[in-house]
Amino acid sequence: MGKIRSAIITAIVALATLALFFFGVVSFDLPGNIDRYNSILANIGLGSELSGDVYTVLLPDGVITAEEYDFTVAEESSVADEYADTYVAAPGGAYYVDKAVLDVYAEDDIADTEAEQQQALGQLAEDISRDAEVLAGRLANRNLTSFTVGVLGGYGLRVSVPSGYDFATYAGYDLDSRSVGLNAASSIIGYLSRGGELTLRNNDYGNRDAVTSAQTADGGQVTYNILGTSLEAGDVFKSVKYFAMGGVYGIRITLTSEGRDVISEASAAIADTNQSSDQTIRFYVGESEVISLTCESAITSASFDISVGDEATARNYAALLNSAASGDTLSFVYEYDEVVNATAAGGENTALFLAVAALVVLAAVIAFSVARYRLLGLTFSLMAVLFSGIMIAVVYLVGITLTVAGVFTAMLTLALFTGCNFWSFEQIRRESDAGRTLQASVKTGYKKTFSGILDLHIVLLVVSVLLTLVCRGALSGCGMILLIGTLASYILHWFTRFMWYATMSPARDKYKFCGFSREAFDDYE
Amino acid sequence: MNKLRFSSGMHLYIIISAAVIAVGLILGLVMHFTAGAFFNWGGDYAGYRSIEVKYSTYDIKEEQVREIAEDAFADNGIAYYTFVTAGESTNSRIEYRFASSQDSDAIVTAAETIDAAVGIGSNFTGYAQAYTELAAERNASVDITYAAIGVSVAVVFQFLYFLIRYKLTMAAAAFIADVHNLALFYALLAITRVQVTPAIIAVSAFVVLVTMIGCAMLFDRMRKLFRTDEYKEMSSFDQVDGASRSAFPLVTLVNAIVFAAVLIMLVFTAIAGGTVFGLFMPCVCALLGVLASWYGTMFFTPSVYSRLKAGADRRAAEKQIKYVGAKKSAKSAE
Repeated sequence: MGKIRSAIITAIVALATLALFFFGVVSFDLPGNIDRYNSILANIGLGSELSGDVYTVLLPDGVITAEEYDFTVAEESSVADEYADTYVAAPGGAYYVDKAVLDVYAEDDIADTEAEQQQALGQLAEDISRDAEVLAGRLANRNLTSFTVGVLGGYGLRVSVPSGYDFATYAGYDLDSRSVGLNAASSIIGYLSRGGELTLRNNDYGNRDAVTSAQTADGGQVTYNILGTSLEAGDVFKSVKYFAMGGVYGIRITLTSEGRDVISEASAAIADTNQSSDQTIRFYVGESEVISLTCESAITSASFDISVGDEATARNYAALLNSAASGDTLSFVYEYDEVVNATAAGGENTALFLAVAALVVLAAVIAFSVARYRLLGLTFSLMAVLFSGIMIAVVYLVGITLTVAGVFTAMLTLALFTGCNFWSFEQIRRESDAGRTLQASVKTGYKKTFSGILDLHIVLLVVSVLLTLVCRGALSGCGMILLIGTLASYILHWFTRFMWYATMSPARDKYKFCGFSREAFDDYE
Repeated sequence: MNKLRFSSGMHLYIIISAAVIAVGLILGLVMHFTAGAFFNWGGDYAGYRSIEVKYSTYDIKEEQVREIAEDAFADNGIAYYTFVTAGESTNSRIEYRFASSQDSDAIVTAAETIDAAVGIGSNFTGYAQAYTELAAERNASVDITYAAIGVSVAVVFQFLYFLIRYKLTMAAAAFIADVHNLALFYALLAITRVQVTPAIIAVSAFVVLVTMIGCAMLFDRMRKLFRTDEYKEMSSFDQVDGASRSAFPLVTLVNAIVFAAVLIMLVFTAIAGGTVFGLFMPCVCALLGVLASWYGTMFFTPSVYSRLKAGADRRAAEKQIKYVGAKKSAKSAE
């Protein structure tokens, strides 16, 4: 390769690499207080151990916190006696429970003795604990990188979901995204904690049941239960799943054979304007409408789709309805005051320290390669920087949520890329030491390491696909990062060879360029 | 090239591995029957106790609240805890978390002390509440099930790939390496009592990946060296030693890069003190994982593989004699 061509290629690749890395890693204020440029790295979504989670405490109707009780009694003496008559302190002292809630558990419908109250409190705690399991199942189905559901003090459910913040949002550089993230997290908790059974309703068609009778008594809009009282949701629905296709999000409802008959008959009647003035099937969980379907004709297929405006909402609906359709319902209607955004579980500055540590590792790899391979090491360093830049950009573009385990996996792929290149370099050094010309050594060296490197990448590629497909949450994210890293490593391995060729061309002493020693043979003298 | 003889140390390596795994198993079982847990499960899985302190930033600063809380913990003999902070500009809260083994009376007393200092009994409007019954927030069995399925599928795939691409003995050795390294890793977790968190379950997959990389490099060297006549004439043990010596720097380099990366993270954790406490356990765990993978891949596996290979070679030779005939075989050997 000619000197000019070599210089042009090297300059273009170096500039592109450094630009990618600079914009990938460095955030800075733009002049004139216009806005701030947040790097690609700062825009990658982080897991809860890096950017904190959003949590709240769900309380069943009739349960209040000791804080609320104490403040109310202290501040409003007029209601102190009323509170004392109405509430019973729960074991542990963190909550007070309305006696009316405990009455449900008493055999004579009135828990008026202390023994009855204690027994009822125990049963209430058991029901809440069971609800925690149902809620955990719904959140697991929601495809979150992490979540927690814990019974707090026996009578509250502490639920946390990832804030989904990127570093720019977490560090306070993007306050708009912060409120969006909080709202999204709040929606997840709000939807998935809905109590009650799944019912399908219409304003004209269906049966009156206890619920619709109560609505009549309240004077509200009367809806009728399409399924009737003899059928349960599990008899009608097989599953409710999230789907996305070409930018359209929604839920796919699959029916049982019995459900197919019921829905076919109901939808035919509802679609007929002569029979019903309301052409909508409304999906209720408890007393809250979740989603509705407008019927223009009878639904005769085994499954049907309902489109939803955005991905997050579609996932929320699918997780909630699938759980309720399976009969996994919450025993209580839960309420919460506010969602709280906590700092990262791993420590407030975990994400920052991890990023700095990763940069130090990259700097160490560069220093080692330059010390061992001189200018070839510099060429490799450029490729290592390009590898890092590509990893950051692709992880961002694919939308992977980065966790501590994900960072470890990224480090592993950097080690893979470095190891494979050094493997080839050392093989070439051996060939060169054996007396071959550098050009022949490079050719033979790469040839000899080809199958090993290919094997390694094939194994890791398939394993990464398996991890992505089989696992879920953080481990699935690790699989995706491994997949990207393995592909990048293999492609850049060969690109490194090309760049070696391009950068070495103008060098007069090619052995010195690579940090190799030239063997002197007597025969040549 | 180094002069290490990997294959000759099988008995030593088996003794070392067996001893570590046995100690881990015994310690884990002792802890299982005395403390109720084979591993030291973290708060996510084992549950924890907590104190939530709410306060108004108009009344009091976060530093003051933390000072009050730390004094209360010290007075009640509470030494180990983690915390997260939360809240907006005016209303904030700090959640202190303690291991489920922490004395609940001490926690309640500490919460009362804090409440007396920041709550309605004082001049402030804060509130401190102890939660001594806090159930596990994550289902360990679900996480382990998914991780186990993922890792098992990966290991089985590696076995099949090596079986097709290399030889049965190599595939078997890689399989043994995966199982051995995981067993060693879990034994080290049981011995060191490192807290098992969701991140650490992911590190199990990381151990298998590092092992896979090492095995692929080792067996590729083996296959390359086999192409030379000099190697073909060597005994199985010398062949494995040669390949292992050749692969040693590279496998060590890959492990060293990962080890250094994790070590740097750990050093940063130490420098940052309490602000990145959550990284400490995953980093320690990853270090143990890399050590187990390196030792298992570079020392244990070659020694076991050399025996497998020697056995396979012997059987192949016997087969040749059986089918070709001893005389013909001797003739071809000449």
